[in-house]
Amino acid sequence: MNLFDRIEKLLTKVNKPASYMGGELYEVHKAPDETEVFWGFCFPDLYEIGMSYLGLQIIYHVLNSQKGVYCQRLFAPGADMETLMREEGVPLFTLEDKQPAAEMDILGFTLQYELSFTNIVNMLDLAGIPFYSRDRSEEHPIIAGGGNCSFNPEPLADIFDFFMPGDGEEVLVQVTDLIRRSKKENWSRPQLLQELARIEGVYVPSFYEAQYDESGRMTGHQKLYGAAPDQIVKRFVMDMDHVPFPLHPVVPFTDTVHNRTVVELFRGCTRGCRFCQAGMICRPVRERSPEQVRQYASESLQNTGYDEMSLLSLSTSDYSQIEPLVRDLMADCKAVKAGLSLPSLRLDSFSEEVLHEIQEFRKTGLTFAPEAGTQRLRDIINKSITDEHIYTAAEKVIRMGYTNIKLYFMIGLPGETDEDLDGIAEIARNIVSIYRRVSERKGKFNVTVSVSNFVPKADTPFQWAAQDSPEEFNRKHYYLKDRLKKLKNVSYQYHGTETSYLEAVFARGDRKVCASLIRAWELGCKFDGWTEFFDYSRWLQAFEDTGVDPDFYSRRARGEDEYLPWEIIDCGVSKQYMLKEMKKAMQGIQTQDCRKGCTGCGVKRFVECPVYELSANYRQVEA
Amino acid sequence: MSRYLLKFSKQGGIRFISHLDLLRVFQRTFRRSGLKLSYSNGFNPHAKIGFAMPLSLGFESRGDYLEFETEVDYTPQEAAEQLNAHMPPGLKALMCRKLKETGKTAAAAVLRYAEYTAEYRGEQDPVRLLQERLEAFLAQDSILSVRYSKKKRKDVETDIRPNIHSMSLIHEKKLILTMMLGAGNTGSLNPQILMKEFCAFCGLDYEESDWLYTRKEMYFADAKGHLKPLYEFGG
Ligand code: SF4
Repeated sequence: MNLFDRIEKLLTKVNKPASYMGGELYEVHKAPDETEVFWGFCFPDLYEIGMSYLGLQIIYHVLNSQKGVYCQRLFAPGADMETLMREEGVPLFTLEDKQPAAEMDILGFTLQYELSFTNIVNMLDLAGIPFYSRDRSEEHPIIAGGGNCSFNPEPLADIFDFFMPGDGEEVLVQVTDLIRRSKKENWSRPQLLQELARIEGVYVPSFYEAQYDESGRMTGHQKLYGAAPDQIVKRFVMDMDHVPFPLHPVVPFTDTVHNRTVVELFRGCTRGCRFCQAGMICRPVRERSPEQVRQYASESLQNTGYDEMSLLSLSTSDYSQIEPLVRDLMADCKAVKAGLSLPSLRLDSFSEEVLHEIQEFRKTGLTFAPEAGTQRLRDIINKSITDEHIYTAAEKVIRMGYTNIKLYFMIGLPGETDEDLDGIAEIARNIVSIYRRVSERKGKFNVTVSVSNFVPKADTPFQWAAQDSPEEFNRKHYYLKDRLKKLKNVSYQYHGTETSYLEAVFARGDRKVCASLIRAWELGCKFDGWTEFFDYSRWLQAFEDTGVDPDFYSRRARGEDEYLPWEIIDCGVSKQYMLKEMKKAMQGIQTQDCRKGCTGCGVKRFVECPVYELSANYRQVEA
Repeated sequence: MSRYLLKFSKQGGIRFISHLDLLRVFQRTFRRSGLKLSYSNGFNPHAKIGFAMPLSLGFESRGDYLEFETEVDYTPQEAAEQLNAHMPPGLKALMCRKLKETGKTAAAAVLRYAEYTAEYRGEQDPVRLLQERLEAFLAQDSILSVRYSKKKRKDVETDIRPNIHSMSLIHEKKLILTMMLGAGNTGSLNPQILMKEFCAFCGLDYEESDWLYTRKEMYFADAKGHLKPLYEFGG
């Protein structure tokens, strides 16, 4: 039986068989004899998660637009499917042609979050590919990674052949061209890696040896290959109106996390929250023109048949022309009976009619992310929201008749005291009082306080900070729970502390934690981001077995002049700037949003930062 | 406002999508095609579109039916062509006819039988055994099938014999069983249940992944009691 038939047989026995069958609308197919480079795009999580991720659609489109390049998709199979695959000896396969992963020339993983790392190991195992790059040769696919976690790729450095931090659209094409050449000219793997290392923004970890001192701290990257760059600067794509965009994205047959068409509004964020990695590594802000956003929105709604559209960016309401754009989009969507959904919108300058029409809003009510409970702590983290903003907006939506308000906070932030936790309860209580004061309706009203745990990330001003211990996090959760319990109409949600602890180990890990990762996988860890799978005791076992102290990575404050494992990558923002920001944080001094004037973060060392006007919404909020 | 009855096929990988997902697939296909469906009134308007009978996950079909209502009047050919131009791989409109607007009876309401085939794809060779036992199997007055009922939280026994209209076997290149089974409000039978019982009767292990099921057609009874394919239904 061929692989296709063998897989089809398994599909009658699994949940969600559609996740493995491919064949969706706009799936790409290319004939093997027209294909020069077989590309496998790997998403280390389930199909329904990966298919909601715009980055996948962009890369799929970019690669398949190249002549002779055939990019197929691979996902982590669900547990039931994996069991069957292992029983029947079915290897990890592509959705398009049901080709074994090991037959690809290149497998590119998107590295979205640390807790998906065990899935990468598992996928390689299912593919029958050796984990360590040193154990692979020309007969194996070359393994590549990109995405946020490639800004600290060291925990994966022994597995991956190379990383591409930054915008992928251009570098992917360059890399693929090189692989095409290497196949034609029969290059050896080392030769290919040497050529890859010459491409701007490509990091080949095997060309560097990690150096450590006696205490186990990393002291540098020692070059093993002279022509490799001293530091790899992330890639920038500057002109959003000319970057390729998928107007015919693959449309899944089944429901995924979001069933809607998405247009990317802009990249980057200028606010400078000191805990936020995306806000640092995605600089500078690059907007897509409103004309193009509208055009893409209409076209992709028409092409896909979705009845909902959404905009993607790190902070929608910071877009310079957000008000006119939202009004136009609203009208466009209405004309085709589609809904508009705008996550993370600041509502101050919108009229009530507009707000009522926005689906996200209609469904979930108002959401706010003050992140910290007091102004003092918000100054430390550089979050410009004030209590005033929160209460004004809350009053407005309550008057409009909405009965759900959700507030996002983070605990364990540097400089936090119990008073900041009291502040969280205080805000919730004040919102309930506003409701009592202004609402004529008696009935259900709910303030949800959602709390996540601070994880210090590489390439942020808090990259030197220590994380709270899981015990301390738990104490804070109970403390908060206790205070919120006494309040009527307030509910409390929080995240598991143990996963945050693990996330912190890998977010700032070096090469030594790779052994723990593989050991954890051996012990059965996978889908660590899913509560039903996460097994903390196995992870502790894995650290112990490999002689790694997780506290060394999560709970240790780094010294100012300590070499940081991720310094090999220049994320655009300079280390100097981060340090300056860290010191300002300790003094409780905010740094202005650089839309209002450059604050010298270092990005200008590489590119010209575009200047945009402040939106009316923005100006109004500031006033 | 116009009402239509569409006959369509569902083949290939798309057989693994559920009834509910298929409905959404059709809704998106209509949106792409530009055909203007009618919507119900209310806060959350939904398109007026519905299947004659759900198809089990994993089944192919060459005779499934969709009823829909449009705001604009189209010729049935136009509607079918527009849909075919925008269908995802595996779905195809086979024919389309207009239903009388006044007669509001849905096709689903008159449905009596559905015809299925079960194609053997396993590695055994059960032909002789099945052939030999078919007559005796059908000669039984009653065929009891035991199934666990989630609602009653226990095993329940039902007689499936009354819902078997006919059943035959051909074996040329492939082994194919053809079955005409009760469908709709008056009682229906899933061919998988029948095949399970039949295999048990023959002393064969039933392995679901060994069989590919296809729905071939659906039937209704006309005024004289004659069975007719659903596409002849006038509404
Ligand atoms: S260089 Fe200046 S303008 Fe550019 S992102 Fe950094 S702070 Fe903002």
